Amino acid sequence: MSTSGVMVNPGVQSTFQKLSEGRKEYRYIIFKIEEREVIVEAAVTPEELGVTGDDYEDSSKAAFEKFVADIKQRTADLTDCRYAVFDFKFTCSRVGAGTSKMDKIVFLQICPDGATIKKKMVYASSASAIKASLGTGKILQFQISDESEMSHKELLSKLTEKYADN
Amino acid sequence: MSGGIYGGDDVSGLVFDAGSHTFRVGFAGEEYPKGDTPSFVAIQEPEPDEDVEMKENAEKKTSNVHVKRDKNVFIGTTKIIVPRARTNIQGFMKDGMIDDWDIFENLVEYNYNNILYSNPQEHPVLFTESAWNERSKRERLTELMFEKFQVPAFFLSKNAVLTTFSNGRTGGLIVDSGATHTSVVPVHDGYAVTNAVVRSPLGGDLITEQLDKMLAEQGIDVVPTYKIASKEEVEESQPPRWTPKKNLPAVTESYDKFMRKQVLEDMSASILQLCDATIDLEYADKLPSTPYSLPNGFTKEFMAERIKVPECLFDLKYLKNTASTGLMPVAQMAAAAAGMSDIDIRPSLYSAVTLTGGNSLILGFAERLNHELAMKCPPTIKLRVSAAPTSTERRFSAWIGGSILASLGSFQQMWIGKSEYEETGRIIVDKKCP
Repeated sequence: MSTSGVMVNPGVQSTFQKLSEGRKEYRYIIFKIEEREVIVEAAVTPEELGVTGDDYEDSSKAAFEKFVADIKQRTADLTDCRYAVFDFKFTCSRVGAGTSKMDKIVFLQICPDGATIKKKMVYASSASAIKASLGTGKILQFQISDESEMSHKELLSKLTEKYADN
Repeated sequence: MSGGIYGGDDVSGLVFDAGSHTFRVGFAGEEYPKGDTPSFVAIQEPEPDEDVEMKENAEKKTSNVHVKRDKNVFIGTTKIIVPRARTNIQGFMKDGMIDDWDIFENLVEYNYNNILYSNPQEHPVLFTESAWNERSKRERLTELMFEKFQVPAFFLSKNAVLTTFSNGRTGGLIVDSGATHTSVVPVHDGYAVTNAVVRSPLGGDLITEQLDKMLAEQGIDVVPTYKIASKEEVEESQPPRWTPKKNLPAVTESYDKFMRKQVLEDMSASILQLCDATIDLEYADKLPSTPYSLPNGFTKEFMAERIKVPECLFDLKYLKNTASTGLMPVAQMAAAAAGMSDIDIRPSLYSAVTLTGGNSLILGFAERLNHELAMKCPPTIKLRVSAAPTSTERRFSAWIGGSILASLGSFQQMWIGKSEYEETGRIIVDKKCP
């Protein structure tokens, strides 16, 4: 259990499975804490996102930017906190293996500097609960404090750095 | 702050954050602590036996007043500074842990009665502790709170973790520069990495000591306020004109030292500054000077010395007449703590270096730490040093974190309840509080 005692709604796990397994129904999911529980706030399918073109080609840039815009709107321009998972499709070149298409799920803990200490505290001290429910093996974690840390470029560079040579 | 959407329960937990300089207490859910009492008490030894007997004999004739033979304990900012005979100033913390339990008990009682005005039996209590607190001390504290103070519920939380959480993070490197020492605690996934903690007795007390030595070199006399009856205004750098107070009791050495330290602490808070980069004496000479008046009326414009004194935090060469054995500069400590942590978490530690503690309020501390760490950490790593903007947030960061945590509706199930304690005993704290 998390330090704060916040629980995770069973819906979180089942929704996440629809993103991580089988047909990969969703592109991203946003979670929030309400009434001492982590719940699904929004789960967005690729159709709803309406991004045309190949995600691997632009390394999910278009999709990710729409996701960031959604986050900003939901957090009233980064004055609130959220958790989110995003299915990051990208291409990276590996030494000796040429380019390859990668598909990684990133978990973002968004606690902007502009949010109140109370909100930051609640989300940070409850993070272990949601991470346990999603299964830490499947996700790559990022802590976001400001917009620069949530830029497509920054995440992509961290992902390619991690996967380029192993 | 009310319970808000996270739970409307009306539970007024208390939060206690004991430091080696001050002891912060208050109600959970409030923004700042109610009380910030010095962690020092004045203990007056009983009068020598002959005197008491004499007085007793004298008083027997008139009344039946019982003359106390016990020690007198004085607590609180205004009480401990009064000059008294046979009175020593003593603290209860050592190395960031509770050491003198009698003084500690006295202080807890004082906080309940004079600051919180509450009955211990009615409020759950959350205590903060240092990351290296010993198991025996954690259990002793649990036992004390349940058995002596009869609290209904108790919880113990690591101060570094609370600071991390209140920054909206689950991990990071907490650089806590306090009065007696500076510590660096890596936090990962909400837990302190206790085997990678680095600490060094390099804190505010050392800075005041260095300042004292600097003043002694310049032939400036630091006279504590209690000795001064009156003073006259004098021109800058002119000898002070002041008259000493008469009829002072014979104070102890520890009291005089404590009072001198008060002056020096104020002085270091007012004039000291750190260089942004490695000290550059030419630059130092160009810094604007800052005037400071000592309690006896002596005034001087302090120049380059005000950046040389705190420089020892980052460069031990600047320590004056102090053995530098066992000391480690702050940036090196931070790099060492990160280096001892698992290689996979190092980037996340460097990306969330958080500066806290009263001593970190020296001007330029955060900038300097950033500069020094940038040279020490691997070049591909993104470094981010943050510090709370206001001095209250910086001094009380652990308390504020505890205040929010203990006020959450969801947290109410996490307390160690009295019945649980009675069932399992003091070892319950090791199970329930990581």
